[in-house]
Parts: sequence; C-alpha cells; structure tokens
Amino acid sequence: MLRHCSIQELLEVRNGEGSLAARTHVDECAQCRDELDRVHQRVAALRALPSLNAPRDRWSVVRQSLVDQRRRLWWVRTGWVAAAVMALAVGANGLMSWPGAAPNEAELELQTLLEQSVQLDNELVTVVSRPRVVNGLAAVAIVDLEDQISLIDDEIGLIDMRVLRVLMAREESANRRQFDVRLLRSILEREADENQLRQLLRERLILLDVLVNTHDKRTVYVGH
Amino acid sequence: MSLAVVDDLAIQRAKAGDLAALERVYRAYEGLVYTLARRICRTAEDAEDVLQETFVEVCRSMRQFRGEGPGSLTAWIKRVASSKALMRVRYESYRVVDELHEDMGAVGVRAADTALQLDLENALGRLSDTARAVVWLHDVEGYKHEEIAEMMGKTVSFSKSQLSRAHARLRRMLGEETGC
Repeated sequence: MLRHCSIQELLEVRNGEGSLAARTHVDECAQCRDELDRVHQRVAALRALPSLNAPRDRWSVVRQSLVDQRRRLWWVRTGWVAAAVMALAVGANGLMSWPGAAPNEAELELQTLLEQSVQLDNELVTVVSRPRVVNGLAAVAIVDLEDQISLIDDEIGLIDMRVLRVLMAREESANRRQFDVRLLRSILEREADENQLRQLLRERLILLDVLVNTHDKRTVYVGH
Repeated sequence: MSLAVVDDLAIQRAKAGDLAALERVYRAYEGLVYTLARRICRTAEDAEDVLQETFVEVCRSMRQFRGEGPGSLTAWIKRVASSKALMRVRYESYRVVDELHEDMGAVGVRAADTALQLDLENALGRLSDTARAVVWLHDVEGYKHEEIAEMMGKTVSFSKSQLSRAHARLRRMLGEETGC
C-alpha cells in the first residue's frame, strides 16, 4: 500500500477486520502505527471517563408508573377472573359429576372454594367502590396482595382453559353417543390439575380475604 | 457502579414483581444507565428522561426477562437504555447549547487528568448526535456495528462511517492532527 491508512482502515485494523494490505502497511509504517496508538489511547480515555449521577432521583416516578399500571391491569383482570372462576365452577361441577358418580369430599371442597372465591370477589368490588383514602402503608400492602393474587389468577386461567377443552371434548363425545377412551384418559389426567386448583384457590381465598380486610379496615372512608 | 448488589435471588424477586427488589435493580443500574444516556443524549434532561423510560420498561418487562444472572441482566438493561437513548436522539430536536458543566455530580476519581477528561467530554459533546452515539456504543459499550445498525435502523456501513467521522473529529478537536 503506497499511501497512509485512512481512519476507517485503522479502525478496521484495530477491530481485526482490516485488509491484508492495510495490516501490512501499519506494520511497516511508523506514522500509521503512531496513529493507531492514538486511536487506542482515545478509546481508553473515553472508557476512563467518570460515571455520572442523575441530578434527580427518578425511582418514585418509575414506581408510581408501575403501581398505576398494575392497578389498571388489576381492574381489567378482576372482571375477567370473576367470569373465569364462575365458568370454572360450572365447568368443574359438570366435569366431576360423571354420570352415576356421587361427588366426593375433594369435589365438594372445590365447589365450596369456588363459591367462596366468587363471594369474596363480589365483596371486594363493593368495598373498593366506597369513597375512601388509602394511606401509604396500606397502599403498598394492597399492591403487593394484588400482585400475588394476579400470579395465582394466571395459573387458574391456564387450568380454566384445560377444563374447558375437556368439557368440550366430553360434550362432543356425548353427542356422538360413544365411549371415548382419550376423553376418559384426559379426565383422569385432570386429577393433578384439580389438586393444584384446590391449592391455588385456597391461597387465593386467604389473600383475597386479607385484601378485602385491608381495603375495609386500613382505609379511611370519606363522604359519609 | 454497584452492579454486584443485584444477586440471582434479587433478580428472581424482581421478576416476581417485588417492588423492593425492583428498586434494588434501579439503584444498582441507575448510574450505568444515566451515564450511557448522558453520553449519547445532548442534554441532562434528555438523559434523565431516558433513565426514567428505561426503568419503566425494565420494571414492566422484568417478568419476560429470560436471561440468567446479573451479567445478562446488565446486557439487557444496557440494550433497553441504548434503544431509548437512540430513539431520543432520533426524534428530539436539540437546543445547541454548551451544557458541559451541568453534571458536576460526577462520581469517580478525577485526578490529574481532569483537564484531558474535560477536553474529551467537550469534544464528545460537539460531535453530531449520531456520531457521538456510535462512538460511545461501539468503543465504550462494546456493541458491534451490526448491533448498532440494527438499533439505529441503519446499515452497517452507516455505523462504520459514523465511527470514522467521530474519530476524525475527535482527533482534530483534541489537537492530535498528524500527517497520517
């Protein structure tokens, strides 16, 4: 290479991407080697620039944005979950009362849990619709409880979808008036789901109860 | 920067939506994000907005974060911050003012090379927005031209030419001109 390297060529050499001609030239030309050294020094100086602190703390704004979003999602979800739990109550009832089979203790517990869950959801809607002031600590507790219940609701939603699929398959089978082995197997496999559902509903009930109480007892009602 | 504060447990808690854990993530990474944003954006106000937008997105998307360990969390947060800063550079029209002295809350040791640092910060601030973003993302944050091109919605050769221009201008502004 008869001319000196351009900056772009030197940067490529630095990155190990340069052409053979450029690399050979840098090896042989003291001036270009010096220039490459300066590139290295400049980059080292850039990397050595000090870290900076934001002049103002933005966490409170970020946190508030997060809390507002959760609250919006919560209200959207509350309506949806109430409907889903109701559907599950009907679905699980229909699913378990296979013709000729009497409901066992576990099935009765599930039914009770579902009914209590719907009842507490309704109570919650009533409590939060009253005009009131929530203090800081209660607000934090409420957000935390709502978040935990949301996680449980996600799992209930998944089970709900599986119950609906089995119910639809069962109805189809009944319409065809024939015994369906795959359907029977899928119902038997649902035992694990039912156990999980009972556990989730128990946890949901406890959290929901605390949430209703927090709304009811740890807030100051106004306008009455 | 206290990145080691966020351990795997804190990451898991943050992914579960725990506000205290999310605040730990914020506290651990706010310096890194603000520095990156401030080096790319022209004003401190823009950098602050990028800081806020980055963490709003990080906190909202934390559940979807699939990486493991603090290293991948750092890479993810830097990626979010870089995208936000580049968006700001792309869409904001900047006031042409010299605001070099607004960040005197800088942390770290400024020893005998303070003058050199100020010269460098000055020169960096006088680059075009895109050239400054490319030189910072490539030479300091370690992104490849392909990644920068993708984030900027430009070609790889655009990123390379911006880097060359940035170095040529920095060389001139820092009085490093030679015959090469």
